[in-house]
Amino acid sequence: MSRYSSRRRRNKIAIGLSLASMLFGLAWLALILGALIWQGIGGLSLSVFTEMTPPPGSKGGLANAIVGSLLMTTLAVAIGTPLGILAGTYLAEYGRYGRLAPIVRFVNDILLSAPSIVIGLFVYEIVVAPLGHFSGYAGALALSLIVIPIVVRTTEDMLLLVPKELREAAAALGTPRSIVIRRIAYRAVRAGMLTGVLLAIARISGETAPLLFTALNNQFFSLDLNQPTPSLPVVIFQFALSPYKEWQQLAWTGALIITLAVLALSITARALAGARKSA
Amino acid sequence: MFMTLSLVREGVGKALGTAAWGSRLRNNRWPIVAALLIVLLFVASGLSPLLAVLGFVVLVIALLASRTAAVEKTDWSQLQTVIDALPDPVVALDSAGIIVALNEKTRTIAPALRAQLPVSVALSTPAFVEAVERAITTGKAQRAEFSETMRADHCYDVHVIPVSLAVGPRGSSRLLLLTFHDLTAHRRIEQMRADFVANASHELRTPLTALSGFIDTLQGPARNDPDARERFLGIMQSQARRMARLIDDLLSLSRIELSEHINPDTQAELGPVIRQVIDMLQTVAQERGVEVTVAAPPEPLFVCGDRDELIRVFENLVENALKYGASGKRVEIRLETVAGQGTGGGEAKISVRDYGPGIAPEHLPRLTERFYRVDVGLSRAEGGTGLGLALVKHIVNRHRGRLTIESTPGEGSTFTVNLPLAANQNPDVKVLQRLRAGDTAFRMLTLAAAGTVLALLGGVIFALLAGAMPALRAFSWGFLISESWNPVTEQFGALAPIYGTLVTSLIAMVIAVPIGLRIAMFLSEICPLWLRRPLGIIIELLAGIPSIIYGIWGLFVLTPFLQSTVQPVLIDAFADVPVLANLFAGPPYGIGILTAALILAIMVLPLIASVSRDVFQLVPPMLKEAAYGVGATTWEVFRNVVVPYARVGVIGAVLLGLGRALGETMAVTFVIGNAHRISSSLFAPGTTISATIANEFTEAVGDLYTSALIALALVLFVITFIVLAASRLLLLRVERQAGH
Repeated sequence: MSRYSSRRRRNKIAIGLSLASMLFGLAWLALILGALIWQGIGGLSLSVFTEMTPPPGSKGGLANAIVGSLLMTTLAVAIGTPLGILAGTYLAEYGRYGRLAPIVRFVNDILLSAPSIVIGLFVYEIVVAPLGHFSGYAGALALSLIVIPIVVRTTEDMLLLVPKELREAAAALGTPRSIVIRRIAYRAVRAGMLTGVLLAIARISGETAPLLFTALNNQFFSLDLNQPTPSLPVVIFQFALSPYKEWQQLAWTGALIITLAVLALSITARALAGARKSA
Repeated sequence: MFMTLSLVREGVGKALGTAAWGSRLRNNRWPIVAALLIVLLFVASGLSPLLAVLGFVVLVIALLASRTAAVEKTDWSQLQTVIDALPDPVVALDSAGIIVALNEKTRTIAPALRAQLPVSVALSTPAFVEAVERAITTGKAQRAEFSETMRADHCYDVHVIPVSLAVGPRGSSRLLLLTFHDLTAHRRIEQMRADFVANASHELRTPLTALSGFIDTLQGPARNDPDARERFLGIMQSQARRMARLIDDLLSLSRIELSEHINPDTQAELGPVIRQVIDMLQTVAQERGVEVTVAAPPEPLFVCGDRDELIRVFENLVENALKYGASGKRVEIRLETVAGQGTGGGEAKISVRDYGPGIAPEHLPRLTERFYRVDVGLSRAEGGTGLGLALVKHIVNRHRGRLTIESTPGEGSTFTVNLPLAANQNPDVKVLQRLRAGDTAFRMLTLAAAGTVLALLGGVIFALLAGAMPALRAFSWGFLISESWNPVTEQFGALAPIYGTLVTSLIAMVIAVPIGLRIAMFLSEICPLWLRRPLGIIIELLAGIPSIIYGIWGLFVLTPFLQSTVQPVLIDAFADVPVLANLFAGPPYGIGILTAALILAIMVLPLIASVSRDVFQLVPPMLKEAAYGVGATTWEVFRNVVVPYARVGVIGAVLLGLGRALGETMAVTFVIGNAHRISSSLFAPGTTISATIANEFTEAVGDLYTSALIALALVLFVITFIVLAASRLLLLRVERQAGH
């Protein structure tokens, strides 16, 4: 009897610990989001989106950083998505039973969680150092290197879900393989691939490390990606570590904007994936 | 009109049907006897005889009517099915000569044939009618020939076969089966063969007669007349040539017929073929004052075909046009491409048009027969063999083409040849080739993209190695074990960052792993089902928050809190404990190794939780249910079933988290303090590899400094690569296991 009750007690403790851990995990989310809103919402105004990053000690906005981030993210997605989709297509379709595919898949998984600062250094070595100056293009390239593995992974996972019968039906009509893939398989997994791209955007919109030595930063507004280009995360990094109150306030506001954007993207992506699953 | 006709026919059918009453009475003996017996019973029971006879008559008629109805309803559907399935026209008659069944093909013989009509109404040839009657009376098979009166060129071999069929429940029924065998084609071939032999021998005989006649003359009366000899020898030569040409044509005709089923395997361009034909016939055209014009598209037209045979085709067609259409003074040759019929591919259409007298329509179908001539005298005079168009037809057939002849008397004729275009000109083949090229290109594109992924990793490693070379050369292994980091004297050692990286990550793991696994346990085992998905998503969202957010939060929220509240307490608490006093020593800066480790722990917690939850969910429910079934508690199931089963995957998840922690930059850079120093105290500021790079890279002056930082990145990459590779391999093993 005592053995039984001790087992029950132990079980209760374990469940209690598990529940506590869950609450612990959620608490961090609440704490972080709370702090972000608490600190960031005060600085959130229209001027944040319209004014440039200020010199130390004066008020300003984040317009140039936001635009720079948008530009580089767009370019990175434009570079990384097609490459990622093609490579994912190779893994799921052409190389599915080949010898190359497992290696590519493995390397892709490594790249998926490789330290992003190393990616930044890589782009510095191959682009910035030879050209002799920092540029938004280099930043976009670094970000695209982060996009590729994510899109590869989701594309492959999604394509593997396409029913074999769909492919066979198309092939039986004499459709060439590439058209089966592009017109049938891609169409079937459109939502899934969009999910992958959204997740990739969510990931790179907060990336700081790869931009530090590629896009660098810029006090001024510029649409020329051949110049050093400001980005929201880098500005946050710089302003947060500064001693000026105004800059710190802007850093908090920027952090709030990024977090909201990332959460919105992630939730949209998951909603898309969920809609697909239930369909 | 048609209605009344069919009504009349039906009336006739009914009338003839009643003529068969005799046999029906015979077949219906028993009902009549039964009726008689009933009437006798009535009589015996005392009714008046007159009434009884009347009753008898009524009864018999009623019964017979019902039986007749039954006979009319006799089911011929089985017979009909059989007849429908036969390839030849077949008609079935009953013993009275009435059609009971016929198949659709009989319409080709006589549309008037229909069921319930006497066959002699529709097919009234005396020989045929006689055969049918004889078959009915004798019961033996007969054979007759039937030529249709309307279209005299069709003739049939008719077999009249009496058969007995089981029909209905009451015995058998005698039928006549008429099968029609179409002899038309057979007859035509016989006729053609006879014609051919007659024509060939005649054609050969004519020059032969001339030859032997002149030989006789030369041997006899003209023996010593040199003038006559010269003249006769000239005629003999031309006659011998004509014989030779005739035999040549016959031989090539039979050769082409032999190879007619073999597709030509070479390609020929039509333009040069036509030009050569026109050159060959230039003199003929000039003699007759005929102008030859050619209309061709600018691009070359290739067809599958034998060049020499095609030249022969157009030589014959153009020569005919020049010879027999000379009066029009004009011959037009037109080349064009058209959509093919049936084959789907494109065709080349070549037409040769003359403006001569034309050909009467009755000749058109037979023009391509051997030795068939519209005007025998004219043909002979022009040196024709009568085999030209036959040759053309067979060559065109061999090329899978078509020859069409159109002619209006008085206006001229057009001979048109359609030939399938060669493969590379066939639009279908072009489309297929394009598709195949597109297929290969797409495949190569995906392969190239996959190669890019490989090249990326290779490129990263190579670029880091190349960049790190100067520093590695300068310090060799000392780089890894030296603590000194002095940009001014250009002395660089990586030990402090490596130490910081490893220590912060390890502490983070010590905190995050137990909590993360418990969260995973909660999500997969304890949590109510409806809450699982939302909670899982929240955990995943937490994993997706950018690291810079953790950094800024750590700097502004966590650090002051630790500095003011936690660290003083810890320093005081462990001040007298031997080892811990060193670990928790020194002024409470707030920032430092421990703070960085805490931030890292918070960061990797959701990652470890969500990945290990995925792994736990792969545990077969049956295993868990079995354990629950023997009375295990939730904790025991988790501890003794789920964790052992998912062990490998959990290790993979933990390593994945470790890899993330090792490589993390921003969250750490904010709070680590960036001091190149290895301190025993966890509260002391330190640095990690990534934080060092992030902080110093843009400010690094001099190649060696930069190179040292890149060498640091290389070290970081090697460490994370090993950890991530191990993690991926373990997770892969779990996935494969689950796949089975």
